[in-house]
Amino acid sequence: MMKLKRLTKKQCLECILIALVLLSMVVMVLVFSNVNYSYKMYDTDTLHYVKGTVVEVVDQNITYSGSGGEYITGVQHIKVKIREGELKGQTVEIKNYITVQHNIVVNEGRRVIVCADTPDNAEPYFTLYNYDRAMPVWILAIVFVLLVIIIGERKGLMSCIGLGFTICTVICWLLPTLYNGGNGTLVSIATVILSTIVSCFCISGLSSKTLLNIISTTVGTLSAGLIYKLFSFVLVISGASMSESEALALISQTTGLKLSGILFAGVMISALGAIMDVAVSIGASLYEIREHNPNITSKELLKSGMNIGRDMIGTMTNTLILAFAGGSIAMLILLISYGVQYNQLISSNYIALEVAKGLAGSAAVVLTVPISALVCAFGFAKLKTKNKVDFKEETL
Amino acid sequence: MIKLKKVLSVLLAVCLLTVAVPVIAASVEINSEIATVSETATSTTIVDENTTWSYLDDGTDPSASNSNRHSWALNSFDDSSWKTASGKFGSKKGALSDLGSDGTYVPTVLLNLYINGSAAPTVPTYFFRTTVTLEADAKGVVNGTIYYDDSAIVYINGTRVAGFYADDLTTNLSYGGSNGGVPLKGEFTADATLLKAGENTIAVEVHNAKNSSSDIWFSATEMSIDPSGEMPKEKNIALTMGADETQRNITWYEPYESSTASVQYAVKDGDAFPASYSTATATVTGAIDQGYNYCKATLTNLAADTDYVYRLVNDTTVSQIYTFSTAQTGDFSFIFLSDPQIGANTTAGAANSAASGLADAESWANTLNVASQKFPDAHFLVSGGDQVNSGATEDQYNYFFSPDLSSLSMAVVMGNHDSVSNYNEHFNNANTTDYGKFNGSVGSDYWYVYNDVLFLNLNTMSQSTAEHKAFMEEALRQNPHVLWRVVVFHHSIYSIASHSADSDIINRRNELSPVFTELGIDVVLMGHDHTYTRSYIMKDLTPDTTTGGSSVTDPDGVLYVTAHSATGSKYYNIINQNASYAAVTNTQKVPAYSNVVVTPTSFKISTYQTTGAQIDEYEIIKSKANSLEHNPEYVAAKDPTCTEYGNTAYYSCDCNRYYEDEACTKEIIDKSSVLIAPTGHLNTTHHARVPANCIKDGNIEHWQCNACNACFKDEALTKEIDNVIIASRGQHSGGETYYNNKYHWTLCEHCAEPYNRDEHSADCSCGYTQNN
Repeated sequence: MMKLKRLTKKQCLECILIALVLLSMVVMVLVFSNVNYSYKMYDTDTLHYVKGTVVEVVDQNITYSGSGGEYITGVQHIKVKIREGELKGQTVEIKNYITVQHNIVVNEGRRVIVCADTPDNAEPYFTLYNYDRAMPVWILAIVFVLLVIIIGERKGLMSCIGLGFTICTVICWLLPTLYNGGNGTLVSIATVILSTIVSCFCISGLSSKTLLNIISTTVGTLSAGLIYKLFSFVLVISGASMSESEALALISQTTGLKLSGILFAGVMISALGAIMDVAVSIGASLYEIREHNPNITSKELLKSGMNIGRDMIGTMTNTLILAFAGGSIAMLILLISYGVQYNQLISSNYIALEVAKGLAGSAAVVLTVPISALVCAFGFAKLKTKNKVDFKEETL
Repeated sequence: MIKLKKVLSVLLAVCLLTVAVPVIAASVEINSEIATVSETATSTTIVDENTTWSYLDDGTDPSASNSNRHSWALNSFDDSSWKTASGKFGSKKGALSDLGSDGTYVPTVLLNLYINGSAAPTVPTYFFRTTVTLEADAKGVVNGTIYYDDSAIVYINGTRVAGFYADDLTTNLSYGGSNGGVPLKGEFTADATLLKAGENTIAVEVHNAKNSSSDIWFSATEMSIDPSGEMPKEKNIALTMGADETQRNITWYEPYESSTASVQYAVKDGDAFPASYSTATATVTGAIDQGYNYCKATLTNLAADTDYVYRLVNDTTVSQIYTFSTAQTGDFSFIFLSDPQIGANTTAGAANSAASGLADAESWANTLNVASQKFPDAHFLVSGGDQVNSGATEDQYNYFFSPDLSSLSMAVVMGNHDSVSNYNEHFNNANTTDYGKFNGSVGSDYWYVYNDVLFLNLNTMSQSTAEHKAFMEEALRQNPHVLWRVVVFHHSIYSIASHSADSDIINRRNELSPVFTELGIDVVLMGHDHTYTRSYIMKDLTPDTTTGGSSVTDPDGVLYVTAHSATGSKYYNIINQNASYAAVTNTQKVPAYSNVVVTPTSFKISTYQTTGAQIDEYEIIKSKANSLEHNPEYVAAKDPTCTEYGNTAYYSCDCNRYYEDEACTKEIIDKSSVLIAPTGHLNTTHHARVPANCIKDGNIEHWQCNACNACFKDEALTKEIDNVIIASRGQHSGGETYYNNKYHWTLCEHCAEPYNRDEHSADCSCGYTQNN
């Protein structure tokens, strides 16, 4: 009876905290929708991207070439019925030019996005922007969330809330703050700590494990930031090394956006996931070990933690490097075609950035192993000696 | 354990609650300003931070009438009833509170912010006076620095010497100014000879921006006499193309406090300025470049092939004599380049620093020198945009104009780097329109005609293809017959460096190319990607790969040329070297420019590196020059058929327009109005289904148009079909054979019709025998 009551009390607290998390997400979205961006790259006020349906392909002249017919060129004369906005219900005629960059071949009934350029002082001009992908994107996202919830049950749902919070923080707070000239280092550290706290809490509720996970993840991610700062100093990387820096520099002239802050934020955010993975895995393993062997010493726990971690290093380092390789296959193929030479490649901005980002993250993942093992070993051990019975009762 | 839980919950809650604070903080803008004050040993300080000022802050006008409103600033004015104090004058919501956030702008002398002492409306204007006693008449200039919020005017002995955001200050008690956050710094240089031996009065009026302003500020940190200093001169003279070759538009910046300005110009006659001259009145407006007015005027009725002199005149000053020349009519050439982007250089110093500006200015001067020496006959310069790297940084415009451009006619378009209102102030474009305005006011589409060639300049900072199309159609309507149609804009849609894959560029390529093709544009000149690219002749989006040589005759499509960097201030990575549209490229990191020679039948563009090498030359040849007159062709009336359009009679001119009359005076604006819609299938015949047999074709049920014989499956005539025939089997076959005494025949097993009917022969095998 006593136990039940205590659990209820804790659950109450957890519920309140989750409600707070959800509330904070709503607040962030509301604030985000009112952020004022003082700079815009182009004037697109007259352009409206609206949903439409192809009602007729009047005629078309399309050539398939290249191996496998992937290279499609030509023109389609189509009629599209607009499904929203001021022009809702109207059918407009569009000449859809198909090129390598604009490879949108449509058929009757296809849902599309039309770019309706409708200034007050000129005839409207319509072009086909793209397929309407909103529906499949949302369906895929919902399928993903359902999968997580079905398989992960309560924890799955909690993970989704944690994920939602992280996405909210990055999109609704980190991005506008960076855009308007905020300090990239501080903002990304704050984002990392916030999202670590909420994610870890969502994964394992209010428990000692959560606290220890938060500590090791935060220390691990901060070490990623430190290592990145060191790498970028050695490799002489600045915000100007990014391929996007040209356009970003224009924004920064107006808003004070700091290019180096963007890079730092990128490293921190991309490393966070893998580091949390390692920290939580080690934390969970050590927790289980201690559960089955309550008298284990912290020294022994540390040793186990390191052993478990060593196995994980092998896969985790692969994870980050493979993620980079997977993401840059197209770029690497192009580099080969350019006949890039070794000296040129190894000293290019591209490689320097990827090395700094990828290796800083990977190195921090490796460092997280001893960090997490240490934190958990001594954390669990200390708690045990302090109040063994109470702690046991609390466990989930 | 309970402790741990508490720590954890508090930690979580605090973190969540603090989320909102940084979000709000993120919108705070950060301004940084670097102040440099140079002092010379010989300068005499007349005002500093400890100077005592008499001031009036009760909201009344010290002058008796508006017509004589500056009288309060005269030395003779009696200010004995005013308050006196020294320090930083100001108020934030009625208190001595910081106007900023870091303690820099905390007033020491409280000004009365509100007329009634406690609430809005605010006092519109604050008047300050101080007396300076000199032993002798001053020489040289007075250099001054004040801080103000929201606007200010400075006087020496009643003569206005500087105004800051002062355009709206039409009366002593007007509201006006910037209303920005913290006080602004205002620097000025004034004629020191206004200061005489004895007592002199320096006066400053500071205005609130509006009756609800929350703060006010005035402090004068320094005013000193530099006896060897010189008054700054007019600067940044931009001689831009007028509406046609008989006009030039001009813009210049002048440091004088003058409300009127004009250009005096005349045909050159010796070294002296001619006694008789024309005068073009200029508009005078306070520039973003504080301390300067920008003046704009149009010089008209210019004769061809003539040397002109001009000078810039205002209330008190007449400038030195400047010169420019017009060229002969007919064939001409011009220089095309793009993206000088002064200040982008990062090899000499950080981008936008003085060092990078200086380095780019040298390179810019070199490019102009090389081009003008090699092609001294070029009539004017066309720039494809991005004249400067940071459009709001006036220093970069100073560098852009540092090679004296006062004699060079030019036409520029706006790029993504100079897309702020400073552009509007620097360039006086001809025939501007409401199309293509960025953010509602910055730049616009504009056109001019030079020796019968139409130049359509698009401001592609606006992505509205609808507006650009409407602009071009209107300009073409006003200029239906020109030798060539040339479009100039910044964001190249056919280049090969990193911008060529930008999503906005891909959109523009898809949208603009068909429009240029439709409107019969000959050549499009662009910039943005800092790499030379000459396209094949493009019809819509399709390259004609046979047009990659050194010339093309009567092309069916548009030529696109993307300029290299004009200064080398910056280059991009090549990402699309073998783009299907690229005929010739140059990716060397050497600045380049093009010389374009235009005759009625030839448009030849030759591109050179500033080091001398030619990198490309291409000529578009017209076997027959465009007629400059209407050239109508009669199109006879034609009746429509069931499915094809007919038309009424009209005249089709080679300017792509239709007219009702041969003289081409009555244009048919709506070209589709000549069309007569197809009649549709008016009379049809119903054919019932006829089955086929073994040798005779049948047909399905169908309806056939009596006029065009088209067949349809349904009576509503919606399902047209080519073939209504039900094919026969082609022959009888099988079945039993019969005979009588003369013939034998077979009854077809499919239709029971007789076939192979024949008389018996001698060796007949049908089974009949005569003996029977």
